[in-house]
Amino acid sequence: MNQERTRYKRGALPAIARGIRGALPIGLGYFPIGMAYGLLAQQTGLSVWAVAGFSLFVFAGASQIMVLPLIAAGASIWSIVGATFIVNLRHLLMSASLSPSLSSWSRTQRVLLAATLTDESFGAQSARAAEGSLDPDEALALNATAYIAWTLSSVIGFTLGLLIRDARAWGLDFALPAMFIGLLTPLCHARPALTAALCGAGVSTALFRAGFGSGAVIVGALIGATAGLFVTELVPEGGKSHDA
Amino acid sequence: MTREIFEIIAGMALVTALPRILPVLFLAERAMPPRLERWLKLIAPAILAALLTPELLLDRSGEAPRLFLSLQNHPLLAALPTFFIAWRTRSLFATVATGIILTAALRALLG
Repeated sequence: MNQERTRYKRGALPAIARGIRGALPIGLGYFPIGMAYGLLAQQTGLSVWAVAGFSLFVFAGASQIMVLPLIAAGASIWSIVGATFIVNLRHLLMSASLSPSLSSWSRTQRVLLAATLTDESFGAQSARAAEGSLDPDEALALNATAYIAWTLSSVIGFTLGLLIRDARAWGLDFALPAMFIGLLTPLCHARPALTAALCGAGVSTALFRAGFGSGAVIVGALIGATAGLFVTELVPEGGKSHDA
Repeated sequence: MTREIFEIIAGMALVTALPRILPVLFLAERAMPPRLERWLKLIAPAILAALLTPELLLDRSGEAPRLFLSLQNHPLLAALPTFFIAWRTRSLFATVATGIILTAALRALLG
């Protein structure tokens, strides 16, 4: 244990530098979304403290943007927190999928990594984990950099909101759909995932249209994933690699 | 408002942190049944599509949501080239930037 610790200390600085470098494209991607969030939040009437508070304590962009119209409409805290839970439940799956790569990490390190897990950092960490091992210093530095970029960009967006009257004219209301498109498209490379996405989209839209509210998303996701699993089971293993 | 916002932040922080943290504490060295694992992996595309599509296809400004298939639906028009950019570049930054610029341009041109 002691030896482990010395070795780990000596390698810490270069690993942290690698982590920060790895976070740069992610931080760059966060800026337009974070700024759109800060700007829309400002126009919803939130204070700069609330804007920063959401980013620091929730740190989940899609849900932060999604609840703004709910807050504006005076929705109950239960419906807001419930919708957040549903939308952010996907982190459970990401955290579960990273878990096997963290078996040599300390409990504190694991909790720190998991608490700052996002769709984008998960993408980077799982690519690293597939290459071999996940270095705690590097991985935590990556997450910390992304966290700082997100919070900073949301405060900058708030400041911009004081100057820009109409976020829609600037297309900023499209930041969230665009982020979903950016995250979804690379996942749909095989037939099961494409089936899951199409079914999820159809079911969720139909239920929204019928007035189901945010529950439509989780029902759509569950039905979509199940439909995708059917395709996985039906299509022979060899057929999988042929799908584009 | 302030007290309410504080409660909303606290509530959202809690329900967001738990699903993130619980698996690394309790699942770290356990193997999942492969079928469950495959199903869990398919949740990601399904949930993202389920979040995205209503945003693009429905007009939720009125009392009841209604299908909004029209040239006035600028996000829907912008979505198609944005998908293309996402597919070609696989860059979140390029995708989001393209989408925002296209939506703003469509609003400026088509009104």
